[in-house]
Amino acid sequence: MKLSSGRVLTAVLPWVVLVLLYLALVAKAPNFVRAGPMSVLLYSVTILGVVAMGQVCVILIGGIDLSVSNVMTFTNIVSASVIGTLATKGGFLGQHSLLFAVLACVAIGAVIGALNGVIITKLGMPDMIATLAMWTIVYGVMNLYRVHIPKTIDPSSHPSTVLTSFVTSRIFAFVTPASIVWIVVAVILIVVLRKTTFGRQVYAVGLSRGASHAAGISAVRTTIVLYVISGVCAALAGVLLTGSLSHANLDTGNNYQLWSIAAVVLGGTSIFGGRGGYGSTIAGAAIIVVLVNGLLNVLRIGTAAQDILYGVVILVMLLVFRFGSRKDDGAG
Amino acid sequence: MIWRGLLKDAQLGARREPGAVMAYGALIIVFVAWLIRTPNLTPSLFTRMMTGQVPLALAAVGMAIVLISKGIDLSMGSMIVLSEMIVLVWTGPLHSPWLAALAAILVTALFGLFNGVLVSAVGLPALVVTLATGSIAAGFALVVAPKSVSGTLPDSFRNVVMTMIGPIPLVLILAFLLPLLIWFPIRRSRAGFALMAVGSDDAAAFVSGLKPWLVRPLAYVLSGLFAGLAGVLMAMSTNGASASTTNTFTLNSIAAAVLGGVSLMGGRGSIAGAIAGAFVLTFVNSLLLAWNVNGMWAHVVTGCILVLVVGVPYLVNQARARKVRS
Repeated sequence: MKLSSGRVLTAVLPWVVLVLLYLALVAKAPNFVRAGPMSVLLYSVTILGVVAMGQVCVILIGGIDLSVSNVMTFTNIVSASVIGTLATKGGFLGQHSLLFAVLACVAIGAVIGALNGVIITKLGMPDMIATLAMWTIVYGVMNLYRVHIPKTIDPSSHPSTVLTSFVTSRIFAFVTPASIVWIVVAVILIVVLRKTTFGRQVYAVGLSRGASHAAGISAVRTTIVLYVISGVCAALAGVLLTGSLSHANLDTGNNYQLWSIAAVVLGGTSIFGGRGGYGSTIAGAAIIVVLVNGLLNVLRIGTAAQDILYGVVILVMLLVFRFGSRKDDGAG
Repeated sequence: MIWRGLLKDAQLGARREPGAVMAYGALIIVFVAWLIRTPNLTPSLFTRMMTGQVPLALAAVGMAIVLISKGIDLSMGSMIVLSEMIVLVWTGPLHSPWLAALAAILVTALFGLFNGVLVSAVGLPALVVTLATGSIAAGFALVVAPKSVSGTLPDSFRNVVMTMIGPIPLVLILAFLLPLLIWFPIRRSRAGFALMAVGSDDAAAFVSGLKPWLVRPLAYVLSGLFAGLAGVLMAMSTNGASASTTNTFTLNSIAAAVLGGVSLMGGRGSIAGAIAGAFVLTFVNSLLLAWNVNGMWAHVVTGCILVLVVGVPYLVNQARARKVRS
């Protein structure tokens, strides 16, 4: 298959931008080549990468999941409080508190994702509005849940040491255990999207829901499955957040709504679906982390300028891809 | 003469927009239920409540216009905060709250123009563009007011919203009058007609000689304008705020517009319906508070209402289509 200039641009540009940003970061703060700061960047990329995994799946079918931020915050609170509650009890429950926390969070993510998928496919609601509605519902539910946590249990101070070390400890150089698991799953996802029938169906539904239906693909089933994946990914990212922060708050996931979409868009995946993949989304996620946790921190840029910069970076990349793909059409 | 024109428009509109009529029906039911639950209601209490509710009605009008043009404006919430902060902070240096309010509305309208140009002239996806500009607007709000501010507005300015005209609070009149005065002339002009056409079918509008990329920015400018107005009212009613609080204006304005019969697929809907939708939402919230329900239930209820309002008509249509086929 001959690659047109537009395709090459889309595939290479995110990695080039990432390398340039990282070089700029190292030039400004040389200690970012050392293993310690690198591992901080890596575990941040892991968390964002996990949410973006679900986000890219739904964007590939032309959808979008705006509920991820509150799903993350909710599961952040649930995992912290479940670990906190069970850890005080002995026996089987106490020993396996982390397992139960993860199971509870995965169930929450799956239920929210399934609801998203069902509302979109069975009630004919646009993806954006359905997931925005779910965003508020989850916001309300998590606030109600937060109130009902017994006062004796402080969900903000019961990190599981296993979870914390899974997310933040280094096993060699700057590599964290969570990042290895993430990369393995990422490779599986990339292969599934590229090589399997299911993967081809995802792209087909993304290019045209009508045409894929005519070709005998169940757009309904594909859509629901992908939203469940997105919900579960966001839930797992919420658990990882508990491991990295070792506390829970009502706003810990807020940034991830924009960031996860930005990671996908910066990776060159078309927001209209059918084009792109998870490979360059990883670069997109890394760009955001290097920018946010690295450069902006080093340059001591405040929240205000950060908010403005995310917006500008996304707009600039959108413009670049826009004119890149126009060239692609011309070369046709 | 103009009143007869308006009346005729209203009659036509009611026939064309059954969703809006239903929204007013729902509003009456919710309002009466709320009145029953609030026995010791005073005019000043009602007025104060209205000043809190009208910003959403204005935001819903802006959102409705964008939705009618087949777009979306996710920067709504941040623009409202930006406008609110500009009024609160610039009143000092500009020596006049009115000048600050004007500046706020100008800034958000410019933001809207920026959105509109990126979406229609450049052709970028509205969803991502407005999400990004929303982040930019939130950043600017923090630049304007790095810390929370309070008590910067003179009482003479604040009392404007508490004014009563006869038995009716001025703000309540503004909620209907401002959108009418701004939208009605546009709706009746060529530009407004083109906007509806572009919203219902882009290609057909283009073939008919309209230029969608010139018309569509108008919707975003109006959205910014109404966000600005909503922010000014918010500033008047709170007289203090922090730029970093989470706000739910974006979702609630979409929900209000949809409740008022605005189609999410573009081309259909009315701002009168959106205003009713906004008041239904706010009175449902007040009703929940009157029942001593935890305020957080309001979010759950708003989300569920939105799902039901879009979902039930869809299911009914599907069932009807199936019956026709068989």
